[in-house]
Amino acid sequence: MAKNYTLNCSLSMTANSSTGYMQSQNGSYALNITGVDQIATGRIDVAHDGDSTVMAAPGYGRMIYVRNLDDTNFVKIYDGASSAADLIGILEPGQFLMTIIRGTGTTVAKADTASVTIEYAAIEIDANA
Amino acid sequence: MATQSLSVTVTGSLSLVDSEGNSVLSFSPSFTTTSTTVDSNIVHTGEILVGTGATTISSASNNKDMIFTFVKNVDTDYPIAVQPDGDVIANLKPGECFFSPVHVDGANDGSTNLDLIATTAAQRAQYLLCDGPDTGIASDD
Repeated sequence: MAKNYTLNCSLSMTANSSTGYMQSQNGSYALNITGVDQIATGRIDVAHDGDSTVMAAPGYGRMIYVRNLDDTNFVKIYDGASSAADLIGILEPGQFLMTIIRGTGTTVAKADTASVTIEYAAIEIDANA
Repeated sequence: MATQSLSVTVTGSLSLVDSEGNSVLSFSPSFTTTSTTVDSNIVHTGEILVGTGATTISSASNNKDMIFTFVKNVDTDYPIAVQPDGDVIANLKPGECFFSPVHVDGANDGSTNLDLIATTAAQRAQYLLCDGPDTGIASDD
């Protein structure tokens, strides 16, 4: 079974003011990943009364993509069990995050007042990636 | 009284291919926020030399409730950690970048700054920060 992968990512952010002022940043990178066990992806309903696991604890680290597919409510993404000290980001409807965390925490999501559907990909990386 | 009105557009892509050339997954997300005025104060960008101690990139004017945050390690040697409230939410090796809507004012958080920290020696990073709306979200609930 294949355990070696190539991950290509790109990001672009543009901020605009109503005055016409605009700033942009962008970047892209590729990771060669060797000998990992976990690739987690899909769409799940995230509960508001408990943590929903996006990816179990990896051996070294992971790249994380999460998008909030709900029309109304926000969802919080955590490195480890939900607590203020472990918050990666808060996603309003339609928003997403992309990050790399070189740490062994479980990735979890928690909704606010009602369950929220998220789209996600969490890709385990090795120490050399 | 004047108000600031800001919006962001963020696009991304990720694709994963295995060692046999099979496509495992591919996503191309994007979103654009509506212009926000309530507590939306500032957009700022720059390049900064990040030290091995906390180097703050947020400003006192930022709406700590929601900062759309892009950071890229543009150096060649060592990783840079992204730390709002003292919590690591990204570890970026040279060339890698990150984006998240970041919340830094939770009641139990260690600070109200968005910091970068180089792990071994000073490294250069580029960033773009743009305030989002005051959502009233508490990060510790």
